[in-house]
Amino acid sequence: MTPVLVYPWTMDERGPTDKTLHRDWDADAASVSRFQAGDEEAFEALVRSREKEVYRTAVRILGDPEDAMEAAQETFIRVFRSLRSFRNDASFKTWVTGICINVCRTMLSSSAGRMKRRSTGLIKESRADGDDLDPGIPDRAPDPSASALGSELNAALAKALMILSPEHREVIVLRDIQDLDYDEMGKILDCPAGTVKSRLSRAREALRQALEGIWP
Amino acid sequence: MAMTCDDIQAMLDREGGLTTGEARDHVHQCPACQEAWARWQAVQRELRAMGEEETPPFLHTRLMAHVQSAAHEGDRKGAWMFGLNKIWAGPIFVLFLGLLLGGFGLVQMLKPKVPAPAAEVSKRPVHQEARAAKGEPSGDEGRTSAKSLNLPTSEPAPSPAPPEIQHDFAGLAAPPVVSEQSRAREAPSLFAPAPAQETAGQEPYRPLSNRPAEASQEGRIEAASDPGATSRAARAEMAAPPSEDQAPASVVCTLSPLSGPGPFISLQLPSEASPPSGGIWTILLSPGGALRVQDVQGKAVTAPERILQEIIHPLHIPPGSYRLKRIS
Repeated sequence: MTPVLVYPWTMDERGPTDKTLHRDWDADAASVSRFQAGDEEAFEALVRSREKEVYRTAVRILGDPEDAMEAAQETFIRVFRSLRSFRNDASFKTWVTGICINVCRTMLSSSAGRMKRRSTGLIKESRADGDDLDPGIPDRAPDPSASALGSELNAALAKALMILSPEHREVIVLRDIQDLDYDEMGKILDCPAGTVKSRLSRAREALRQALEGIWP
Repeated sequence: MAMTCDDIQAMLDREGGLTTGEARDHVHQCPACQEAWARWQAVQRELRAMGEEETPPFLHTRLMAHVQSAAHEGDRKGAWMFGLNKIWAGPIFVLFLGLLLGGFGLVQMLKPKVPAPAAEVSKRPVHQEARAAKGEPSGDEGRTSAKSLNLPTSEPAPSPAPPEIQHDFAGLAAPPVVSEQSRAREAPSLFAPAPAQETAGQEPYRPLSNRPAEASQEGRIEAASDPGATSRAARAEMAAPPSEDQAPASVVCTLSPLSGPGPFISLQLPSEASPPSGGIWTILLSPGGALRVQDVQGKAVTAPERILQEIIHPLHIPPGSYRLKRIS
């Protein structure tokens, strides 16, 4: 009989792309249990486990490193304050990402943030040359010898993402950047998996159209 | 039906890849779709790379510092009241106590000095109270007496040797003489002369002390109609100069349980309702409230039963056997 590997999430057609995900999930659950038992040092392990994902999600949704840092800080503060009531209905990763998305939505809907991003967007759109496509998002590619095509595409993608609506940006970030499955996305976005799929399809179409004018 | 280029593009948007062999065949044969497919793959690779981008230096340190700062700030806010209580609990308690006592004292100062009936009842000799209420004993007066005597109204806690409660009945039997003027100052509602229209057809008000012959009977009448007047009647009797025939022949007795725990009470009883000098009676109190008296030989003594019933019943003494000993 073939042993069945049960993952804590519903696998989509691609399955988990990283086998360490299962181990990470167990480590998160253990840290959550320790924290809920009164060991506040366990929270540092949870932050270390999810801080990069949270920051990357925030920076791609907000489009600004400073705002992303602020969002990440606010996310983990909220996590700290409500982690004792976390009941493992979803994985810790899904829960944290959901909080991050909510924080980003709040920041996007705030009047100050809206004004700032609007002006940033106007500046970006007014620049046609590719040298300064997205000054707000540093290119921190791990491979410094990445091809010029990749860097150009990276910058074009960053700009195209900011052209998308926040809803479309969220599903692109969650699915294509953070590699979450549809069920996890449904929990985070509070909608059924079918809605997530259709929204993702429209988002990809919008991204493709946005890229056509930026990345020939 | 063969797939079109639009179908391929829709599949890429919807599925994120070429999921059927037919789609792969079309892409293999269509240069435009090959370019679109390659472009799609590049975009997907770049998006995945975005998920692996380097984060700012000291991200963890900054996040933890911020979280800890916010958490401690929250702790401080949350613990503000607790900390306040912890530090200022003593001074706040003292201040509260002072305000409470000050307020109580202020209320007492502003309160008109009307003699409290309960206090008066407690000061009356027991035999006078029994006389005043003879025939119609009042339960309320009895409870007041029990409270003023600090008696337990329920089953007392067991104790090996209950301390004897001695009350200075001798001092109460001779109340201080209060002049009429000072009475009027202290309690005008009780001692001021009655208005003319209220006394029409009646004799003018005279202090009870000035009419000793009527005091006792009048006091009984007032006691029967007005509980508050009982104190006045008793006071009138006490203030009246005692004559030989009216002088209360009261004696002090102690009532104590024959065995086991129970109240130890000193009572001032009329001589006819008390044992002979140096004698001891046994008082049997049934749960139903009936009272029986026996002498040392176990012989029933029925004469004082009614008086003792009237005196002891309002005290709510638990049922049982008690020893009534005459002290004076």
